[in-house]
Amino acid sequence: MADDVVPVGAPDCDEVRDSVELLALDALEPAERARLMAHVDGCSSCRAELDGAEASLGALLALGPEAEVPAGFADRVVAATVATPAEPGVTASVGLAARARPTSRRWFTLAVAGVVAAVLVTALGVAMGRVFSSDGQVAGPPVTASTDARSAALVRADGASAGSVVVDDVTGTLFMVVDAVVAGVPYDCVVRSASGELVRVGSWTTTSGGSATWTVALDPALGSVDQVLLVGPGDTTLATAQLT
Amino acid sequence: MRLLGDDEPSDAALLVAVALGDAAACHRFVDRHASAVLGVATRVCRDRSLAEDIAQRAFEQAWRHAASFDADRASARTWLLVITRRLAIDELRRRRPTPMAPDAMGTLLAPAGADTERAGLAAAERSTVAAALGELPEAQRRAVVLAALGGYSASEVAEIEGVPLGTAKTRIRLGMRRLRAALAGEVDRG
Repeated sequence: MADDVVPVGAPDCDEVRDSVELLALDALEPAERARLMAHVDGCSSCRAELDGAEASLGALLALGPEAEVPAGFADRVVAATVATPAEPGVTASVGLAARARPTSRRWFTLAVAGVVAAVLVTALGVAMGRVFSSDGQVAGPPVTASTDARSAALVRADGASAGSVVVDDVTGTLFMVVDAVVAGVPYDCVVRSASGELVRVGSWTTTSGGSATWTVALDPALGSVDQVLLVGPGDTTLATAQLT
Repeated sequence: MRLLGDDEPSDAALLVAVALGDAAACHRFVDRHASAVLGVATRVCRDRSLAEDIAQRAFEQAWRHAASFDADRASARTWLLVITRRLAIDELRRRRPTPMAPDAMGTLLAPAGADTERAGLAAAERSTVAAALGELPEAQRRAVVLAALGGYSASEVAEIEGVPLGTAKTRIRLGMRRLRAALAGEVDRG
């Protein structure tokens, strides 16, 4: 097909892959781009091709000269960004140059609250039938918990909330709800045992960003856990929950 | 175990903290990447004031989408620079109804030098991309530079270069494929 001719109708994978570099560079006319992207949005293999082309573009962009940063720039950016709600509710990975997608912070808060509530209901002795697995999906054997559940907010160093933790001492199960995780990045759950020792009890890497709920079966030898830490790459402590 | 701030965290660690709303991590992330982001924005916009506005919006968008970042797909710096370019092109096309004369063509791509040593890309990867770009046929190199770094559409590249649209598309496509193959070869060897 001649490149000057813009085809009509739904494209197939071959047509998309033939233009994937032009898509990555956003070098096509809007109508043609929209027609091809309609296919990409529903085709994981073409999405992967586009991600690869965008990664090459990023490498090319990084070659260029840097620019002098004006004084106070970082302060201005941070002041503006902290006033802008983050979008932790996205649960599916998006392309490299993801466009802004408005999400209600309140909706997200309620969603997290719902997850925590479900965990608490389980911990209060209602057989939920399933537990949340490490990738945030529901799976696993039935669980019947007790009334001996303790919960606490997962708090960052600046005092803001990053999620919640529930520990069911009878079943020896720890539930950690994290408001926003980054896909492909390893997270660890570390607990302080009754003897005061810090013990790594779980490690996860999610395949999609957004909120995540993880469960950990605690070793009875740990005794009563009174502190839970969310640890990120490089052993960086991201947030802490103090259980009482 | 250490707290964020004890020493220099990785980009991944910073983004993880940014996703959780950590302002200190956000500040460090901006400090680390602002010069590269401003570089891309300035190159595409050719307007310093507008570039600063674009750069700020790029960081804001990165902040909002931090939880959508996928470390398996690209480095944080690559992700951020692609966002920046996207925003700059959108703004440029909104303001620029007709193609501009590419008088800045000669300066669109300065040689990778000491300044880029701070970049998130490995030195080998940078040199691979630079070498592959330099080895492209002149027509392909110009088309790739105009489209990728200058933010021109294929139609604009065709007009600037005085060639049919199909030819411009082919030059961009072949040039980018060669760059991508060179990068893939680097990864395979790594």
